[in-house]
Amino acid sequence: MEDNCLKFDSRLDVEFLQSIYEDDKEHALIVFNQFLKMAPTQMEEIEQNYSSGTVELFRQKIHKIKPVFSFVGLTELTNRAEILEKKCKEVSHIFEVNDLYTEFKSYYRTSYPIIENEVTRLT
Amino acid sequence: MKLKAIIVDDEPIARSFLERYCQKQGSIEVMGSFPDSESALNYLTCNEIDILFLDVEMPGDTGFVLLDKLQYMPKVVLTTSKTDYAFDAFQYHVTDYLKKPIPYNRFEDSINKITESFKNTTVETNTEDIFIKTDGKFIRLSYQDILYIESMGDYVKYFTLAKHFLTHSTLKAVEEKMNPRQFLKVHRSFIVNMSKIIDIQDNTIVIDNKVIPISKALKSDVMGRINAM
Repeated sequence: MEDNCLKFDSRLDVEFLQSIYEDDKEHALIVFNQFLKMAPTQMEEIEQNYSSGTVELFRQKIHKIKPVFSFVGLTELTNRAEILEKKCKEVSHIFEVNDLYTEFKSYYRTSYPIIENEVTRLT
Repeated sequence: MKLKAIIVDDEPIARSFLERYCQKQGSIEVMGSFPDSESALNYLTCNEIDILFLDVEMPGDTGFVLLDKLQYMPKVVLTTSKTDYAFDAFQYHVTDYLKKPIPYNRFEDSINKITESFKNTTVETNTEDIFIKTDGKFIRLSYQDILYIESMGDYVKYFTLAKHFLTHSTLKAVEEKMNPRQFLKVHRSFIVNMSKIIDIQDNTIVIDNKVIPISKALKSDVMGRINAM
């Protein structure tokens, strides 16, 4: 990757982030800030759908947030979302995805502060 | 000239990414970004575009339902985070299929492919005629021989007295190539050779026994171009 590319926290998917932002710091900041603003709301909606037990609505919300994680370098969360989404197609009751969903939420909670730090560092 | 595009995706970050990519790539003008199929359809009913960046799973109508409702087919680039739609994409003749998140170089490849396809559709030679690509070869058509041109989805058909020729293009691309002094768009689906008009009545034009509609919005353009007494 070229030297003039942006530098990111090594816990993120740096290679992918550099491929989409290259040296465009302004764009990266816009997207990272959008993520910080929107992800908690989207995760809350996912939680509501989980609580109400509607598998298809839950799956749709997971599907929608899935690529968003990659936009901020959280590729592992995108992968976990994909597994969760596929599992939703195989099950009839929401409790059958409980373990996967719990892991997904836990990973999200530990990842969110990384993005907060990146915004502070890039600003 | 820049290609006109719209983006349809309910995910704001995905929309902003495509907007930024289009801006960076330079040959596309984003005419609008829409969070659902319904608002995009409202825009497309009144406006013609060259490229449609389209998500599939959205609240309300899916991207495929939007394609079903379109009266003409721009170049469609599906942007989705699933690969499951590849078969549908093939059936809908979409130009490209980009999996989100989209790396910039993949986006650029897609746009280069589309730009080339627009360039290759017609090759202008001089002010008297054009070459159109049909049945795998380029055929010379004299402007004087063309009666009218009709849009047919992903294709346009050139009508002459003797024959008609189907070519992969949009009416918008044809309009930009044709001599504007001789040809006029009279309807979303028709460009006519002004010198071939036999009569005009109400909202129709007759050329060689073919009755061609004039759209309400373009009626004044038509009337302004004829030498009426």
